[in-house]
Amino acid sequence: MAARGTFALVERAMRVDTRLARTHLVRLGFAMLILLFVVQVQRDISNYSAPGRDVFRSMCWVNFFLLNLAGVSFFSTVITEEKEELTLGLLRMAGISPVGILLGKVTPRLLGVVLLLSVQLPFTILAITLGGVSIDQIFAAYVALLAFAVLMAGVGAFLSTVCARSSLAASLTTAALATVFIMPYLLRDAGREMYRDKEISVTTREAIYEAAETVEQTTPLGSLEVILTTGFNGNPLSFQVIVDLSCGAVFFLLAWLLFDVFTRNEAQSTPARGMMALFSKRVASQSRVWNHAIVWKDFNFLTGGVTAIVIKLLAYSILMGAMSVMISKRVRTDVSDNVGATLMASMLTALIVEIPIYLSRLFREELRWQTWSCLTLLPKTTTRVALSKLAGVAPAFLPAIIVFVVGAFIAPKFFENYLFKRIFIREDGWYWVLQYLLSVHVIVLLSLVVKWGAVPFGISVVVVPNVIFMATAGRNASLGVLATIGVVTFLAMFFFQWLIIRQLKILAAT
Amino acid sequence: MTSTEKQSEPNQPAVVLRGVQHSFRKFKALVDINFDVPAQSLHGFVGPNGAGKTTVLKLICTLLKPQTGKVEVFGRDVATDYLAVRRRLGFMPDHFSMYRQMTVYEYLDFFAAAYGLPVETRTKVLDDVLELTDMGGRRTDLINGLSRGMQQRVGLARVLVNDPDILLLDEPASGLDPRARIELMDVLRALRSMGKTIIISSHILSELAELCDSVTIIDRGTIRYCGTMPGLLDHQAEYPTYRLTSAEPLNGLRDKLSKSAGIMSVEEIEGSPDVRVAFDPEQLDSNGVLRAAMDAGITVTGFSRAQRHLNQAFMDLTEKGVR
Repeated sequence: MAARGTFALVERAMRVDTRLARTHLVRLGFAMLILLFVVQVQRDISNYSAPGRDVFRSMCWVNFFLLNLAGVSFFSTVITEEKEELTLGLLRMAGISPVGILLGKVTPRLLGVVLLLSVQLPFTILAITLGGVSIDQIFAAYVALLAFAVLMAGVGAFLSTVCARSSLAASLTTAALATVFIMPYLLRDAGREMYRDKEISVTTREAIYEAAETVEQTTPLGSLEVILTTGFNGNPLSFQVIVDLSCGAVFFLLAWLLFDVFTRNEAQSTPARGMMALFSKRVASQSRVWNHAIVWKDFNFLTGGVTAIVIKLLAYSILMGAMSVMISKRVRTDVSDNVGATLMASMLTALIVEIPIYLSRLFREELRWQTWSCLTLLPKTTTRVALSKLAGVAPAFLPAIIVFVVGAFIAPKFFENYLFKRIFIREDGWYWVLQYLLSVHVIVLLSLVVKWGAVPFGISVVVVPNVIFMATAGRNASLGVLATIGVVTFLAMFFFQWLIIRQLKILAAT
Repeated sequence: MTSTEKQSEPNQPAVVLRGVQHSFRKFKALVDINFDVPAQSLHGFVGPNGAGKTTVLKLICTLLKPQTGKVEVFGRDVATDYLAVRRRLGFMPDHFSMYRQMTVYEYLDFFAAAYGLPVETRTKVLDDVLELTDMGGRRTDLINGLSRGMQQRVGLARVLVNDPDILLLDEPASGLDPRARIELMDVLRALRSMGKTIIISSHILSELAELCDSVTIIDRGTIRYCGTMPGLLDHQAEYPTYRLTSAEPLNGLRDKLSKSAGIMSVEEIEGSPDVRVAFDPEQLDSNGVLRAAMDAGITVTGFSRAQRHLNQAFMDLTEKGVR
């Protein structure tokens, strides 16, 4: 019965996937991307010592990037989406066991990734003809990527079982990935600094370096570089493959073991009161709604209100304060410049991450809880409602902006000469700001049409073509060409705004 | 908008639909819809599932733009003057679209503020709507913790915060227990007595029979009937019909009566010993029918105008199956 249920889930998911034009378009996009790489390398073949390897390396990193995005969106929502739709109980009532549900939900997604990687294989073989890469390397690289996909699937199954919401599961997956990727650098840095300050012996330092190396080799981030070195002749079943497969299996088993505990209560899937829950109902009820009601609602219920902003500001301040202390200990000269630069760089990163996350939830939550039509019926235009919602979430970015401004005050020269004049003006930072804003528009539009994955897909749609453009034809592009693309990007943003409003009107009536 | 402007004009229809057609891709949801809803009336909008009720309501409340034809609310075109229309109506959809993380008071206060009511007015308005819907005691409760019936009351209170002239209620009683249904109907009667125009959609005609002044029946995107409730009972009856009660079983006498001149049909009434007699008014009047019955040897103990049951009228007007 359980096996039948699992197969039914897998079959249904595969059928739905096959019927969607999106699936085939993504696969076609991948094939086109590889051809683009091949054509580009062949055009400038004289500039490459190992053109085939360079093509394949580009493909591997694109795949790795997309596998990370899949982990954050595709796999981390396998069970939470059922929880949010309140359909998990129905699956249980149909007699499907926890392992049946987990397998039935994870397998089709894993197969989707496998198919996406498989579709590339005939094209990547072309890289061999260009020279510099062997069939063994291609095989080993795909095995490494598949093992990483299994790890992502296992982690996704576990976190989506444990978490009540997709957003939390996705955030934890992101945090876990970031930790694994950053940890080797932090370990090496800590080892080097402690050895310099004579706090540890050379043996301990080497042990720390060894640990960093080991952590690095558990993901394709480290293993792919080894595979892609000239003359690679290693076993495809590398340390990374074994670790990833084992960890994937362990996480899947944990998801299975904990399934009943964390999925017993479906009533968890209700809109969150967030930080408003910190107040007693009485206090909350006595505080009146602002005259700008929509701004009030999103400020309190989407961003968490004043409490969340204060907490976030404190967290950023403590984190940045600690980093400043560390920097002031390590750096002997230009301490203020270094501290200010760190604050600005960190907060810019925080803003780059925060903005799409908040904006992807701006309308998604209304659609999810079927409240959008009620807002649309207010005597206000859809554009005005949308802008009010935007104004409601804007204060969520204040903590990062405040810390950034503090950084700019600490290091005004760095801000003016490096960040603004050099990065933004001379090194085409403005171009990337425009592309980022475009990707935010795409993300908001996607959040209206897809249930999950708007952020990674939105970023992929804009960033991947831009990276390819900048790495190839746009590498030596004149300012005129970039300015023209900038104008087109700017106009595209207006077009996307029109699409968003149009889609919002359609959704209000459905 | 001043209060004088906002008042319903009794002589002007509250809602007018003329030649309205609407399609969703190739599917024709509405085909040439024409009907008026008088101001300050309680109008039932009935049809089977998928008949087009919600589409009509969405057109009236400006969520959809008419593809063909015209929809007016108090003389204002919903396509061009939608902001003015929205100020005068309250729409309660058939699903529980609520901010369930809010308390009852926060939720109503939010909508009152969103409609532009100043904070000093809001307190009075919210007290009034909470009293009307009998939710005053639950104002600090989270909506998420309320029962379905109570959530329905909060939904109704929400559409009342801007004091609309027209209320559009899409299946408001669906999923409610009998008590909650009766209480909801009482609230709707109270609102009608306050001069509101109420359009209430349902797929259960009998639910609206006692409540509504007029009714529109829609099926497969076309209007099958629009008029008063008593008119519906006579609508489409080919011949006048009387109900005849006999002291003893009719048996063979029924055939004898049916062969009388001017008698068009004699039908048994299911679950009753009575018969329904239809006659040609050009040949007979009701006295003639009575005389014919007595001539046929029937001991008549009761003779009255037969009205079709509402459900029968509904079944006659709508088609079998789902499109």
